[in-house]
Parts: sequence; structure tokens; C-alpha cells
Amino acid sequence: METKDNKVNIGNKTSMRSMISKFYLKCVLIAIPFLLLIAYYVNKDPFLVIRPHNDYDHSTICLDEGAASWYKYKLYRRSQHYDSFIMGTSCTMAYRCEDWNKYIHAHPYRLFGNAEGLVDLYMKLDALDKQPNQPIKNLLLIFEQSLLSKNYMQSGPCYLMPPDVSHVSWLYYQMTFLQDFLDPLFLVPYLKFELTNRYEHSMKGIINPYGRSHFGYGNDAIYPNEIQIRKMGERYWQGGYWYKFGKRRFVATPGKEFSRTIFKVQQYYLRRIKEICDKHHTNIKIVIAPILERRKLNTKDVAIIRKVFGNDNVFDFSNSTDLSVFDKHNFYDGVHYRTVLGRKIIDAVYNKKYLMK
Amino acid sequence: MEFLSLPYIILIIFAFVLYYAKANYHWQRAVLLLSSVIFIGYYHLMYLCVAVGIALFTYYAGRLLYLKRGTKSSPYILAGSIVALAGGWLAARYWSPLFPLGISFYTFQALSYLIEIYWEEEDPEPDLLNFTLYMLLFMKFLSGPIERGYDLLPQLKKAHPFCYENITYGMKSLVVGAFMKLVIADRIAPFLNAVFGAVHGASGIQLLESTLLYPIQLYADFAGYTNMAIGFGIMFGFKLSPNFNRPFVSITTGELWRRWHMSLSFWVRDYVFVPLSAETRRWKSWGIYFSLLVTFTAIGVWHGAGWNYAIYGLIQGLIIIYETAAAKQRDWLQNHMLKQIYKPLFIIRTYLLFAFSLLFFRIEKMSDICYVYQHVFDGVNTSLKETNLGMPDFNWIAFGIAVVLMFVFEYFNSKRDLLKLVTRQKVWFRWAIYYVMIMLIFLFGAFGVEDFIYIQF
Amino acid sequence: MNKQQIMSDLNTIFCQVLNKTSLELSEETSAKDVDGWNSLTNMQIISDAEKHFNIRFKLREIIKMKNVGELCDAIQSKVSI
Repeated sequence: METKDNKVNIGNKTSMRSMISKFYLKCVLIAIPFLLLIAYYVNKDPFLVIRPHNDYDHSTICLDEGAASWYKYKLYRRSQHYDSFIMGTSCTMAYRCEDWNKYIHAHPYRLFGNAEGLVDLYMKLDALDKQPNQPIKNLLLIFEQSLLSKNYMQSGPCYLMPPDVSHVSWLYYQMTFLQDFLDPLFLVPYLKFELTNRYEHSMKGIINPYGRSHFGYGNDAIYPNEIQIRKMGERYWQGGYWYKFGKRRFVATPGKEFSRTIFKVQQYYLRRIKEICDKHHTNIKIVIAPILERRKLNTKDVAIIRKVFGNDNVFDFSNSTDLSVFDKHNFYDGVHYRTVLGRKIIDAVYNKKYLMK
Repeated sequence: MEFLSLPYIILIIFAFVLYYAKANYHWQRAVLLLSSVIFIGYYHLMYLCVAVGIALFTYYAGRLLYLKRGTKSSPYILAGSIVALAGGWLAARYWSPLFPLGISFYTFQALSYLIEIYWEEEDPEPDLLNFTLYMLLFMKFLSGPIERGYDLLPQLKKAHPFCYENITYGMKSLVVGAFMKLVIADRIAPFLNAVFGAVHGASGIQLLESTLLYPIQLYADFAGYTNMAIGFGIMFGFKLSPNFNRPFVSITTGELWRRWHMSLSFWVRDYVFVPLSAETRRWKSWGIYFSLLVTFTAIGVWHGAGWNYAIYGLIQGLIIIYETAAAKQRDWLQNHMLKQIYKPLFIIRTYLLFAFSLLFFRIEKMSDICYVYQHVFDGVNTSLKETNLGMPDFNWIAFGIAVVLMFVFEYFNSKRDLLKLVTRQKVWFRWAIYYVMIMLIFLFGAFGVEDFIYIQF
Repeated sequence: MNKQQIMSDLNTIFCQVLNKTSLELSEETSAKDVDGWNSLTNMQIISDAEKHFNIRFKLREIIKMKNVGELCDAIQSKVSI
């Protein structure tokens, strides 16, 4: 009897052991695909957010430019002694550090972000202010209606800034990008491109087919449409985008204004920006960008900006009376304009040659 | 240690592997005690000292009560212990620079243990280690469920052999909880916090929207946490008490409180309401009304040291008094109205009453609460776009679908246990479900938003 | 007084308090089986029963009652004294 009992007992024990190992095995099995994907992600770091990199200019994918330009700033800040910054949305592409430097004679850097909002801009400026030994001698802020309308810090994998700027937790920051990586809408085109190395139309907005997107220590933009213009000449403004929207949409509508954009929150951040400038004795210039439609920023909004930063520092090109500003040859599309116009605006700002009077 | 944090995940994996290395009662108890001590001490050594101190006090008070049973001194011993425990809790709440986490929950557990012994419904636990584990058990330490001695103590006295089915069931419950917490509660939390944190900056429509969404956030947060606690419990062979039973299908506020934070509301029912209403039953309805007011104010005050919490409780009490007084009229309506109209109508009414009274729970400053009440129907300030509260549209869609999914799941789960149903599916289908769930949480969860609402109580 | 009679008296009290025309009570019936019998109505039922049978329960006795049968037994033991 005793031996029999023992046997049963041992049998139970071994079956228990095998059950436990079966359970652990299954746990590992269920985790394997995720672990593989995560290992691949960490190894590739396609968003350039896990480790510091030596090159933020040539990316396979369309980057969170706000984060990338912040990392690039940190990469070169010691060697380049940046002290002047161009800030704003992708529309800052029209402003070359080289052109700007003719007037300021400093160490400029273009610190921009995708569809940047006012709060994002402030957060970045605040982070700059908190960097050790960081002078802010000159600021060139490029304002647009869309930038001013955002009264919150943007999140998500296209906009989220690194933790030292956005003050989100490290985990939240990393999870934002990891989650975007695991999203099939990203993962499938990405893996396809990695495997085939061939760009397809379906990868638009995810894969960057143009190679280099900015260059130099100043982080100046390279916009592929400029190459297209060089190739196509006048035809650029007839086909594609321009054809689709037709002439009617871009008939100048002088006098038409945006509705009010700047409310309590925006005013608060404008004042905070001004405080930082005062602290650093910054020479600040604010450009309100022109748009092809000639739709101008609300007069009351402009008055608020002028009140905060002073009349002499605010230049409203959305209301320029020099109609050559709105010549379609200055534009890539409705809002993005070329360095030709950027140069002209910088010259007008620093030579006090107003393009609107 | 949050459930969804790296230190906790490491702790739980070590505890789990060690726990089932030997299906021996002494071994398993040692593993649980050690994990609980690490879990509590990780926050602050003081928290551990306070918790162990209260456990020891309650253990000896329980034995003393048992020894003096039937003598004249026993009511005094009980009263003394209650005063000591409640006094300690009050001191921690009002005067201590550190509020020991979980103290509201384990103090209530200690009180119920002593009262049950006094009422001679229970005998005290003879083993000190078992009792300490009953008080400190890490899965329920932070935020409950508040367990009764007669439910949990017997489970602590036996070995728990490895049960494959139970463990995987517990893991499924864990996944459901994580979904509620990460995909629903944490997703919307920062945006509601922004509104409630600065009510003067929000427009009328934003205030209204936040008021209406807050119960869902609170529910997904707390019920999600409880599901995870229960899941961890099952993984270690324990059955913890449920805390929620689909509260938002309640017809009346009274019913809502039988479905909302049940381990707390049953506690106050058994140890506050029943004795009070029994003592005052000569006053007829007035006795019940009086007891209701006292009970619900107690629930309110339990949550925090502010007038707003007391008022929150008081409002609940008043609503239930009204409902009790108007029971006959409600019955008449029920009999003379189509069920398809009556039920949704009262469900919505109950939800609205709850949502608007929860403002007293959510906002501490009375002037801010008044501001919300004055401006909640102001409507749009600039454009309808402000209704997104700053949350990207895509997130709203994910949030909305997740909320609907949660309610649908709970509806069917109330008819039959869906988690068990999953177990009976074919392997490929089961694994597909697991992967889809994990992917959904991965993709749509908001990670790193570290706040659990009930941790502060 | 026999159990049957107590049961039928209790049935009337239950119907009155819970506002119902008829109820099927058995000894095993507990609060979860009857719609509307909850902690709020329970004390009304007990207080009405006390008045009806002219008895008085202690708190501890009330807490011990888990179903209709136990309530019935408690009443019977008090009435027959």
C-alpha cells in the first residue's frame, strides 16, 4: 500500500512539474513575437529616439522633426556654440541660417517642429533657457494662424518632444514611439520598405524617399520641391498641386481675415516667451507669415502680439501691401514658401524696410 | 509600486515562480509575506511599520475580545480598539506629513475583523503570521478590495497547488483590467485633469463634457485596478471580493451603491447602517433616513479631509432618502410605463445625478465646484473644436470604441462568464484573441501616465 | 403560534413593506431572491414584524438572521416564551 501511494504521489508531482513547465513555455511562446519585434525596433531605432545618433539628417522615415532638431542641437551645441534660433513650423524652411547670419553675426540654428504650436514653441524655448550656459541672443519666430491656434502641447509620434523639453516621463515618451512602430499602419509599410528598399506611393508620409531632409550645422531645410522647380521651371506652377486646386482658390482675397485666434491661454504663453527673452536680453523678431491666399491674421490678434513684443519687433507679412510677396512663384503650395521670399523677409525685417507700407 | 510598473512586474514574476516552486503551505505563506513586505516597504519604510503595527494591535485586540467574551468589559474593549484604530487613521489623515498608503483600506479590514469577533460571528485567528498576511497581502493592500476575515483567512490557511486553469483565468482577468485602466482611464485622464485642474480656463461645453465623462474615467480606473487585483489573486490561488457589478445599469442611486465600490459600501452597510438603523427603527422611516445620512456622510469623509467629500456623501444620502420616500410613485411609473422607456430613462437619470454629485468628489476647492455648476451650461466659447479637450481625434475614436467595447463585454459577461468561454475555444482562436488583446493594449493604451485615483484614499 | 401562521403573517408584512401584491416566501428565501428586499427595507420589515408579534430583537439577533426561516425561528422562540 505504502509503495503504491508513494508512486501516485510521485506521479502527481511529475505531472505538476510538467504542467508548470508547460505554462512557462507557453508564456515565453506568447511573448516571442513581441520580443522579436521590440528587439528589432530597439536595434533599428527608426525614430532616432532611443540612443543618441551621429546623423539626424538622413532618415529612412518621416521623423518627428521637433525631436530630431532638438537632438541635433544637443549633438552640436558644444562645438557650434549656438546662440540664435529660428523657431516655428515647417514654414521656417524658407529661412536659411546663412542668410540670417548676414544681419546678426552669430551662431544660428533652426529649431523647428512639425506643425508646431505655440505651446510647443514655448516649451522648447523654456528648455533652451534651462540648458547650462545657453545664451539666446537672437530669436526669429515665424508665426502663423495654425501655430497660434494651438493652445496645448501636442503629443503623438509626430510632435512629442523629448522628456527634457516636454517633461513627460521617459516611459511615456518611449512608449509613444514604440506604439507607433507596432501600429500596422506604420509597421507594414516600414517592413516592406526595409525588405524591398523600394519606395511606393502607399508609403507616403511614413517613408522619406528623398534621403537628406536638412543639412549643415544650422539645420537648414532641403525641400524636394525646390529640385522639382529647378527641373520643371514654370511648369511646376501649372501641374500637380496647383492644377488640382485651380486658379479660383488662390485668387487674392485682400482684407479677408482669420477669426480671432489668440485667447487667454495663448496670451499667457506669449507673455512667458517674452519673459525668457527679457531674461536673456534677446533681440527678438516675430514674422507673421504670408499665405498665398492673402488671408491675414486677425487685426486684434496682431495687436495683442504687438502689445506683448513691441511694435518694432513684429512684422505682419500676412497683411503685406507689397503684392509681389504673394506672387505664386514664391510658393511651393498654399502655405510653404521658398527661400527667395525668406531672404526678402529677413532683409525687410532687419533693414526695417517694411514690405507692407 | 504600481501594478503596471517595472518594479512590480519583476516582483510578481519572482513571487510567482517561487510560490509555485513548492506547493507547501509554510513555503507559500513565507513567499507571500516576503513579497508583501517588499511591496509595502518599497514605498516607504514608515508605511510598513504602520501597517505591521496595526496588524499586531488588531491581532491582540481580537484575542482579548475573544477571552473577555460575554463579560461586561467586552463592549469597552471593542470601543477602545475602534477609537484607537479610527484615531490612528484620523491622525494619519489630518496631521501626519506622510499619509500611509492603503491605511484607509486595512483599517477598515481591521475594524470589521474586531466587530465580527465581538458579535460572536467569528473567532479570532490563532496564528499571528496568517493574520499579518490577511492584513498585508500585497495584491489588495493599496486599494482593496476590503476583505472580510471569514472570506480571506480560510484561504490563507492551506497550500495552493499549481492550477493551470485558474492561473490562466487570472491572467485573462488581468488583461481585462489592464485594458480598462490603460486604454480608457489613462487615455482620457490628462485631458480631464487639465479641465478640472483649471476650471476657469475651460468653456461651458468642456465643463459639461468632463463632468459627464468623469464617472467613466473613475470607473475604468478603479474597476480596472480591481480586475487586476482579482486577477493577481487568482494567479496565487485566492478569490478576492468583487468591487463592481456594472454600476451604470442601476435604476436608482440606491442600487448604484450596491454595485459601486461594493467592498466599501457593504462594509458601511454592515457596520454602520445596519446597527444604526436597528437602534433607530422605532422612529420608523425617520430612523432609516437618519442612518442613511450618517452612513453616506461617513463614506464621503472616508475619502478625504475636505468639506467637499462630506458634501459628496451627504448628496448621495439625500438622493437615496428621496428615492426611498418616492418608492411607491416609482413603482407606479414602472407599472404604467413601457419597460423600454422606463429603464433607460431611470438609468440616465441615475447616471446624471451621480456624475454631477461626483464633482464634489473630483474638485477639492468649493469655489471651483460652484464655478462649474454656474458655467456648465454656458455652451461653446469659441468653436465646436474645443469639445476635443485637446485630445487628438484619433484618440477620441479609440477611446469611444474602447468604452463601448467595455460595456458590451460587461453586458455579455453578466449573462455568462466570457473568460471561461474563451478557454473552451480552439487553440488557434484562443491565441488569436490573446494576441489581438495584447496588441490593442499595446497600441491604444496610454503608458507612463502614472496616477491611480484610488491610491490617495 | 405555529410556524405556518408566522410565515403567512410575515408574508403579509413583506408584501406591505415591499409594495407587492403577492410573494412566494419559503424558509430558504433570502434577500437576494426577493426584488426590493435590501438593507433599506429589511429594517422596516423587522420593525413591522416586532410590532405585529409584540416582541423585541437585539441587534445581534437581527444580524444573525440570514433568511426567512431564521427570522421565523427567532420570532417563534420569542412569541412562545
